[in-house]
Amino acid sequence: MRFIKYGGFMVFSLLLILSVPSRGFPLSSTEIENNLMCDCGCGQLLGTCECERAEEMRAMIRGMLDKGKTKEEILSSFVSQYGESILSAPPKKGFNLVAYILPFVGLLVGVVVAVVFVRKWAFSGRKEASDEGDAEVADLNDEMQKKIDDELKKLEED
Amino acid sequence: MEWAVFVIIASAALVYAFMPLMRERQVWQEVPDSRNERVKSLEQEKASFLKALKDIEFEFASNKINNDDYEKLRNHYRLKVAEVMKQLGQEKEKQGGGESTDG
Amino acid sequence: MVNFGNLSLVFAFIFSLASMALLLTGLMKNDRRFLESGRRSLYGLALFATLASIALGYLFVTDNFQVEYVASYSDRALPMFYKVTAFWAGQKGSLLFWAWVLSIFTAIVVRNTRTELNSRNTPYIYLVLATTLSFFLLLLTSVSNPFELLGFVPRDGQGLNPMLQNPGMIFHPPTLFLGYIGFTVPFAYAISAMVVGRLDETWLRKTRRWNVLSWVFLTIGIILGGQWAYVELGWGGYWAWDPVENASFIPWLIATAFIHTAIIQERRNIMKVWNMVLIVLTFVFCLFGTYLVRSGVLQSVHDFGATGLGGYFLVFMTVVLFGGIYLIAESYNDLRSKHTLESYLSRESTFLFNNVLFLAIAFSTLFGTIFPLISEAVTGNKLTVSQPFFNQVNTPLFLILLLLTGICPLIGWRKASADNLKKNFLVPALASLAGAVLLFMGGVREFYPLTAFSLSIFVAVTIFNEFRGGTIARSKLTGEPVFTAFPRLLYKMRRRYGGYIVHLGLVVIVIGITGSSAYKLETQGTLYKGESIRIGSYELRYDDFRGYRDRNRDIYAATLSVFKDGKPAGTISPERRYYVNAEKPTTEVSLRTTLIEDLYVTMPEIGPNREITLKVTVNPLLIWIWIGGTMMVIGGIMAILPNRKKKGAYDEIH
Repeated sequence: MRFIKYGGFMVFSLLLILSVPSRGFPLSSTEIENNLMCDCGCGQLLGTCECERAEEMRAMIRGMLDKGKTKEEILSSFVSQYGESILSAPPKKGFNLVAYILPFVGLLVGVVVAVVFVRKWAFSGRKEASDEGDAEVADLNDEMQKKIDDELKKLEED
Repeated sequence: MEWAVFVIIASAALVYAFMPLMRERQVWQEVPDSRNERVKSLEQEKASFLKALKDIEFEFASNKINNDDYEKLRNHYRLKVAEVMKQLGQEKEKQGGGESTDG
Repeated sequence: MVNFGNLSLVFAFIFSLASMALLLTGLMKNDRRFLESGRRSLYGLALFATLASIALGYLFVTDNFQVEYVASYSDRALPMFYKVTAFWAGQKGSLLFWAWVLSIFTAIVVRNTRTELNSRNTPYIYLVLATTLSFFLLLLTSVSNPFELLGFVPRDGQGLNPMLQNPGMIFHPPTLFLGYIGFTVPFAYAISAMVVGRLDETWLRKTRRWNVLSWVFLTIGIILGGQWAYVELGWGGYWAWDPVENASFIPWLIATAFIHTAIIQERRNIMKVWNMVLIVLTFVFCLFGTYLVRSGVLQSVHDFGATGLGGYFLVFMTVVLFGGIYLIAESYNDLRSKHTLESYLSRESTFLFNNVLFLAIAFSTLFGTIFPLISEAVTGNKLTVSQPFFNQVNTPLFLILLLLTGICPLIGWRKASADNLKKNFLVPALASLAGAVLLFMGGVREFYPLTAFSLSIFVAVTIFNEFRGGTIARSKLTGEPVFTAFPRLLYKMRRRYGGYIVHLGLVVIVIGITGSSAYKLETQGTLYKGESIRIGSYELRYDDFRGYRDRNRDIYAATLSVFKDGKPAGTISPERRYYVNAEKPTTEVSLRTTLIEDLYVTMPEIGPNREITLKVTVNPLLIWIWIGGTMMVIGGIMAILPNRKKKGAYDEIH
């Protein structure tokens, strides 16, 4: 039962990530810039780099936007010019999906393992408790009870 | 000057580090005292059970567990403490009533 | 002084080797004299590492540009403050810093264990520390010597990268390094525990302060790095999922997981294998982080000069990793313990799930960082994995983690009764629901921000209840009035409540990150004098322009009047700086910070007629990231405050 719940939760969140689109703001050059890397070798997003190369690329984007091109068209024109590595995140297709999905598969496996362990440990805990049977604390003599209370009090004074 | 200072510091450090080798041979580890080990591990166990009792008391007072669970857990750990304390008593008797060295 | 430094390094190296040899001899011959001598050699090592560091500092301060390292990272015009801190600006100095700090930490460990030489573990702890030190000293005396001379004496040095001339940059590398280095100590204890076969929780109890303190340093280092990026790099953000940032984040995540399960082992004596795995991984990733920062293998904003040390580090990391795995496998049977939990509904089990999440985030971060290499190897496809990827994959993971942070305090140690749990759950859940409705009506409609904010409310309320409930419980148990019960509760149970403050800090950080990333406003424009630019409720008017010389740089600054909702709200003054030794000018960010939002202005261009191009960003709630970070640090320090009285055997188990 719990299994299904956890599994369902995971699948749900997985779907969520893959489906949540970029937010529905009007198309801005910033949004496109954040989907591209700067070409100058700085390893930064296009939107954040300050070099001349970045400025040229941004001008290209503005030009294409003015011509009314869509985000996809602009991005794919960059990809055809510079290769896929110009995109700031790998496109969600083919082998790249491994990068998107594996962390969640890992999480799922981890959760399953954790559930198995917790259940196992809780089970042996219950078993131990029931093995104890109905041994009553009353079995402990007063002297021992007092000793325990003293020890507890000592702990309190620290 | 630089050299002189360095030589002085270096020789002082070397003497300090290697001085112990001039002493008489000292055996490092005797045969491990298994009884002492046992007392230590019992003390640790006792400590963790007592701590558990404290925890339970606190969790009960801050409404994390209900009365039933509280009673059950409390009895469970009191029994455990009692058991360990009995064993500790026996160990200490064997050692001739010596104080535990744990500290 | 160059010779002095070189000799000190060589002597430090000799002492590290001598210490290893003496300790091994002592162990084999069962002769205490050798162990004592090996122990003292570690003090000697610390002494010479310190002398070497003083020598390097002296060379920087006295502008000795014949030394290649000094010439590369300093010049005459550099302010004294930065001359001293240029020490760790490059690879060689960073390595010396590592070795030096580790030698000091080692000396502290040696001092703290001065009465414990009889214990079987102690020599092995020393041995692991000495070995690690000798690795770094080997690099320093051979391939990466900071005292190496140039064949000529240049008239001036090349100067420090202007981007590094910032207060945040002075403390970011050393604090991060202190964290990395600090984890060597628990690692050494763990290894010695496995070698000797004394696998109870003693090693964890003894290294708890080292763990938490190193964690605190890592946290400070990461936050300072973010702050430096924010105020210095000028792109309006604080975290770019840069490979080097990731390399500091991964050990932080694993260490955080470790700190949580260490608590379980201390309390329940279970999860011994797991903790060994985590501490070995933490240490390996600390080495990896050090290696990545200064090796230059990956493109990053941290490319401040590095040469190939890769091979050496890889060998050492492999030895550590496989050595660790071997030891864990070897002692697996002794490490296995009888695991029992009273109930699956217990705080212990929530800690298990938090571990899963921390490791999942660590994994996705690592995997994303190296995925370009994997992809190229598998499909031949070159690609880039940058911010959008990490934001997409890690955000949901973080939100689940945040939820868990809220659930955890509702569940008591050992066992939570289901009916009490439901009762305790109710108020925070209702509060968070009410908050969500209000936020929705207030215009927060997107999924992630809405979830993040309402989860934050949930966690904050549960933690608040924990403080309140704890105070009432203590007052009930001890009979103290509430106003004395509260501070005493915080002090007596500071491990627990320090932890809650850390969690509260996390909540505050989440609020800052969410606000500043989901509701960021950006605009750009070119202004002539007298013109204005608008963004959100702000209007900025270009009033004045001036240029002047300050020490080692020419500064061009524009002055703008800020109006918020039409009312004057001070001035702001972005700058462009031309450092004498730098090819490219740098932009100096001008910031107007309030508790609600940051107005962030940079000036990427100045035209021939003094028309200025401005990039203006409004980052809502951003300051809360720094406030939350500070809370995390305070909570962490609170958790390791020492006892006033002499420690009992176990009152560290709180």
